[in-house]
Amino acid sequence: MEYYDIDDIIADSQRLPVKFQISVPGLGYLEGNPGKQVSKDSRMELPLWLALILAICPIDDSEDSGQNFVELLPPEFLSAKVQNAIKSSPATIDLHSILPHFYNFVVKWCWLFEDAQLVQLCLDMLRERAAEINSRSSNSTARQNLDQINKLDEFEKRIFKLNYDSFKDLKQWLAAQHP
Amino acid sequence: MSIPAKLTQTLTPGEVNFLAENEMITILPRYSLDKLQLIGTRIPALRPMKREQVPIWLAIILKNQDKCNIVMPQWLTVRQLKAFYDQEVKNSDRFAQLPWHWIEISKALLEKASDDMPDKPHEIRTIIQDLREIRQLKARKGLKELNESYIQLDNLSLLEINELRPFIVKVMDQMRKLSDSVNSGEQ
Amino acid sequence: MNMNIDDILNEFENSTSTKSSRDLDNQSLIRCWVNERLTPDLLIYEADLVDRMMERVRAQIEFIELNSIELQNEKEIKLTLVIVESELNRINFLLRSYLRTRLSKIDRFSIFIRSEASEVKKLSNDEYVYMENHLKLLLDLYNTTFLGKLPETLQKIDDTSGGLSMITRPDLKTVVFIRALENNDITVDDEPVELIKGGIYALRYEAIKDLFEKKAVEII
Repeated sequence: MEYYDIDDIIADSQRLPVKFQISVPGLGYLEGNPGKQVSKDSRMELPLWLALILAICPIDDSEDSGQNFVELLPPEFLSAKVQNAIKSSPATIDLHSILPHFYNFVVKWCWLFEDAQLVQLCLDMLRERAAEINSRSSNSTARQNLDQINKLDEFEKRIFKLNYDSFKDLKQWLAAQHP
Repeated sequence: MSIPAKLTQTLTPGEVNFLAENEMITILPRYSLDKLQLIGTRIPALRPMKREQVPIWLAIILKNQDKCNIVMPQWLTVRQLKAFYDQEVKNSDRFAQLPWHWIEISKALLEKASDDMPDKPHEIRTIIQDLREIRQLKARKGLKELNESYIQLDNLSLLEINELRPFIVKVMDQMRKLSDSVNSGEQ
Repeated sequence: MNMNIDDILNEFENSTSTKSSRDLDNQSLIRCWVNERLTPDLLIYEADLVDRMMERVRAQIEFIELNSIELQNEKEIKLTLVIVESELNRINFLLRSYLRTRLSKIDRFSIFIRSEASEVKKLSNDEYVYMENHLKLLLDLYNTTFLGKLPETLQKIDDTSGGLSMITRPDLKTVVFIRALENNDITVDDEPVELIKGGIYALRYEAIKDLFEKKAVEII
């Protein structure tokens, strides 16, 4: 993981549903009540970088109460419904509408939750979609694939362009006469 | 930037061709040239009709000036290329053992020395194109086997590897990051 | 300046280098260039090799200057010059691309390189001076444009605390393509992988770095 990786930074700002475990004075601005407290059990969405810290930091360092500031709630885009949809049509599903940085998010999520099943699902999906992306991006009428490109996650878009450029460079070189 | 970012960890087709031009080829000089000490090699004395091995880049200079004929490599004949094509069709799970620089060398010789070819150049060009396409299809089918640890690509030539390189590297790297996220629990 | 072309050719022949050492150096330089281009990390600078090649380049340029003025009307010399100049361009390209590729890695990883003695050792003297000056210029620029305006605790550019290091280092896990030059058994993700001589593989650099250094695989 690189510090200056823009995709990684964007994946970090993905909002996640959380539930506060305790009431905290002065934090009301997080849910649009500046100056007020945020109360125990209130639900809101926080960016991943903040949600993760609050979810793993114990409230009190001295005692091992196991209680943290917030509890992470399972996000919609990782629900069983979405996972089943991915499983049934990995090649054609609109991944971008599910989450624009799906793979990068899963990597971050799984450092914490070690969801081996989710990772396997992603690996299978990526393998399937990569072959499709390769074939489409090697097609010189790639513009016709615009519909398909819109369904790609940001990582997939990047490899689409990489492969398209590589294919085009070679094609141009092969077509040119050399001195 | 000392080199463009897109050139990190890959080569351009022109650079792969540069490597191909260092391969040796047999020529039949039509002209005398004294031996010549170059920076990276020594060129033997050339005498008319006496076969010599020289780097392809030199053969092309001589050929451009009509100072030699190029002896076509064994594999660059309709017969041999057809045999390769048949192998590609027969073995769907592996590539025929074409030379490491078959695309670049055939391109150069078709452009510069087609009059030295014993076969009809347009036939050679057609089979080369067919070979290229069937191998591309096969390589693409092989991408369905991509995984986070390794893949084997025996007999793919350097230019073919180079075309797929940026894509394969990025996909395998991403797969590895995904699988590391549960296996090692480390960043 | 009265040397004729035969003298020069003879002189070339009589110089210490034999055919094989020139060919070997040329092949080594090509290898070094390909390796530097296709590996994620900075490799050891090939000082002696580059020095020898540069010396021959200088001699060849002298040869061209001498002959292009005095003998340009002779046809045979003309062809000889075309050949000599073409080869000179090829060697110049290799040297330039090799050095530039190294500079691009030095730029990217300079903070990392400075932090490890074993990395600094990979640099030539010139590269070391370049790295230090370049980094100083960058830091001055950062400080005057934005870093200086931040609170002091946020001014670091080499902070390694907080889970994610700010220091950009080579990704040794990235995939490279190799050809096995001999049979070897390696391990990738605790799985045994058999490398068969002549086989071509795409796998993570880390897994074959030792074999690459022992020349048991080549990067392609």
